[in-house]
Amino acid sequence: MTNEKKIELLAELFEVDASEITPDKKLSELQWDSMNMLGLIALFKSELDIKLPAAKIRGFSTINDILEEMK
Amino acid sequence: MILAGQKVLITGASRGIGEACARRCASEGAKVVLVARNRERLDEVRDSLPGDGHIAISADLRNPDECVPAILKKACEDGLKLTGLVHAAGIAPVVPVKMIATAELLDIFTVNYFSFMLLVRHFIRKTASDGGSIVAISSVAACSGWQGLSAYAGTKGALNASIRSLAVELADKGFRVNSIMPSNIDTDMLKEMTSVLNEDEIEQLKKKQPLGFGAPEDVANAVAFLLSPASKFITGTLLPVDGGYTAI
Repeated sequence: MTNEKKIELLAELFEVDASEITPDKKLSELQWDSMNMLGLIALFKSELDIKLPAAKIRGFSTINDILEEMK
Repeated sequence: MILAGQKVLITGASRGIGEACARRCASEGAKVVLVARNRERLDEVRDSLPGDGHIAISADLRNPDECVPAILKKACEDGLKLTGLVHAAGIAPVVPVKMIATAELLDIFTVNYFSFMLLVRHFIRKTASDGGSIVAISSVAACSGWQGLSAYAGTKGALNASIRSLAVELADKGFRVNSIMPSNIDTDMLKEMTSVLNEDEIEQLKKKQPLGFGAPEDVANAVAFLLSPASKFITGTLLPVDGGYTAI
């Protein structure tokens, strides 16, 4: 998956412009709530076929943490 | 024993509500045909049931055209026809609609709804039964809104709608068709669904049900009743077993 596609998907998830999805962006500055955590789990499953455990998600603090898991 | 002499096929029988139904039916004298994907867990449940003659069939309902006829055939290889069918298998992905994909919709509809319809189709054949009771495990999500559960709710709404037509269509053939609508029941499925919630959020969820979270046995009790002769005048019903969820 291209980096551009990853950014596009995360922008859709957080309902922001793609320009706001930068690696150092803090998730606390985006809508990092339980619905978006579930949305992230769904995104990983449908787009990457990766099962993302809830425990791991709770440890995320920046966009880069998510991008690292998308490799 | 309210199910003495009966033989009941239960999907999703390796855990949660399905397992509780298998245990309750067996303790009430029924022979149980347990269907689920996890072979090892299925065999464990079967071997722990009271009574004998129980059958375990490992199958994945994601391919119902192929597996459902085979399930029903295997279920009756002992020469005994079925008297009951319980569809407790199901998946409940929590997916905000902004992330929903067709593949996911097909998956959830296949397991939760399409496989049920195929099971009914093959259960009502003379080779499998001579009448009986059909119970679908639906959900209160079919009639109340929950964030992230629009797809899941769609499958349960489909079940509920079909139950009524099936009841009318199959009444003169000797079949009763009902659904049970549980609310939040303390199962692995609930744990998965609430995995990202914090304690406060889970507490808020519990408050939606005056009687708190239910146990799988609470649902199994209602299933046993609907399978039993005591419910012989009940068909086409959507029965909430919800700790008061729909009363609020």
